[in-house]
Amino acid sequence: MEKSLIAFAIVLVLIFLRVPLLFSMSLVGFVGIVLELGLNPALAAIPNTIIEAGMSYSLSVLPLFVLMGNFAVRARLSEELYAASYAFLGHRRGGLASATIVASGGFGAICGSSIATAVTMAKVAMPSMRKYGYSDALATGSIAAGGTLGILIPPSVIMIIYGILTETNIGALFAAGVLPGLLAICCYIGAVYFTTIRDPTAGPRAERMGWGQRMRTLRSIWGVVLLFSIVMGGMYGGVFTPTEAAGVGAGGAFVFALFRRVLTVRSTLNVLVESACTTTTMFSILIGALLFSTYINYTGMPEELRDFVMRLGSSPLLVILAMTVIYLVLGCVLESISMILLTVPVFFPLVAHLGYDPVWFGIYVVCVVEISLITPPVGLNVFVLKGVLPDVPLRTIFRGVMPFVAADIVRLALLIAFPSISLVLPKLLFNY
Amino acid sequence: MTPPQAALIRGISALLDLMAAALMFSLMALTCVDVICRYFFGTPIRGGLELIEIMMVLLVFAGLPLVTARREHVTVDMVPVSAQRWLRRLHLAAVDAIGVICLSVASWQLWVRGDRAIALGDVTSQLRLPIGAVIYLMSALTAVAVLALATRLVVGQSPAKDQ
Repeated sequence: MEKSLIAFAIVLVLIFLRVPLLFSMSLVGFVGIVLELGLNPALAAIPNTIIEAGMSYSLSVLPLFVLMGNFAVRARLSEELYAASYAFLGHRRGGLASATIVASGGFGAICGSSIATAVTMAKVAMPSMRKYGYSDALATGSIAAGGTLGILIPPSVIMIIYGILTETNIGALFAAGVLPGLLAICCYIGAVYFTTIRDPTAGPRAERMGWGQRMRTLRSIWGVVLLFSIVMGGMYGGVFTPTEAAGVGAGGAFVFALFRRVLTVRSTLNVLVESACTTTTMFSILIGALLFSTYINYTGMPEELRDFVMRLGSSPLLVILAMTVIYLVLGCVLESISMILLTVPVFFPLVAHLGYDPVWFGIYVVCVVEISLITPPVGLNVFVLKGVLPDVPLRTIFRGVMPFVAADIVRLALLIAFPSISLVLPKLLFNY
Repeated sequence: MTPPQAALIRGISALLDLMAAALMFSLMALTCVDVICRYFFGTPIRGGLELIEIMMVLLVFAGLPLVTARREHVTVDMVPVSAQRWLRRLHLAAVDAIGVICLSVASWQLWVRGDRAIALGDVTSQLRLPIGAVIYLMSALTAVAVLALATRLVVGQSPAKDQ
């Protein structure tokens, strides 16, 4: 246990000294394996890990879903989504912020990245919230929080990484995200409501639209609906493997972007390269984490932790609560994917031993990651938003995000209390 | 940096862009065509699966020099670095040096592994593509990433990237 704790400490020090995660984790993992097994096995572990993880059919879901999201951003599918939810919700108090949440959820259904979702929603939702005099805090808070729905509502890059790391069925994880995603939308709308109750000037009403106009805007989102239905329907109808679904989804989003004449050769090239580079960065930290966890597993830490917790004899619920506290603290200081990659190899065996479902734990992990994306001081979504909206102070965005963090915690509590919210759909679709 | 060298770097970078884009596009196209072939013509593309696997790994490695050179590897920059310019440079140089060492070892070990795959005559099961060649290519692309990072280290940091 001591050895692995020291290893964790060194990794954290290196990370905070701004050594990229890939290098921090692989360096410590490598040195650890050298100390445990000698130089030659450690050297051989490097290409073995890379080839085993990289030359893999199931990994290819990752770049393809990233590509699908990026094409969907280019095709500006977020515009219709926002227009439609605006038409239905805009006339209520705080309605434009609620519309932002709903549209983000809709965009999350075709995009697996929270950052891409937040960026594309910022571009369409911010101007209209400014126009109606929404407070910057509520406006940016709803965009940053709405963006996190990108990784909860399938497809989800985080679920793919969790699935690869723990060998959990990615299709089941995706299905498990649907109901918690809807629950999250409700909680966020609750947060908007709460904010506007306290300060009605934060989110004034926009004009009401007639039903004819509402129906017109609803019809215009057929593109998103079609794309989502093909991808998810195909996957759950047993027509596609997740990789094929991702490939068809990316192809579909590409065709959409082509028809909307928003693609030039240059911008297509940019989308492709950008998606490839995103894949590379994610794969890199995955390799670092795999090397690091190889060492951690040699030290026997996961078993020792499990035995330790068993000896304490605490109830499973208490363990999950303790874990939640650890995640909330880690989420404040660590980047999201690295947080999962560092902790899941240690926590997963424990959670499985306590009798929790791996799919449920996946959803739990996604939720704590979502919180980490918007909590200060390192909330990635907030920083990305700051990049898109340079004139809004960081402090304002963090202030605006707070009601949504509270909503996230309520949701997390509900998901812990009622695991069936996450598990009912995957059980139905995969009958396990 | 002298102009011919800068032109060379731009050329390599453009080439890698093109390679990454081509692989990404082919990966998408291949999965789509494979699905269409299987459901409408009843036969999947022969060796489609292993082509996807090879493209997947090459895609990742084509991106490696680009990501490395642009310093886009995921980094946590919460703790402020020293305000002093020389210390900051030293710090960044040390971080880059760690990267150079890690990637060099990876490139070397991949090459060794490629040698072994060639010696054993490893080929993919359907198309009989030599796995060793793929691993050599991965090693070479990692070496390009090492060179890119080392160039940065030697030439010095551009001030804009100090943030």
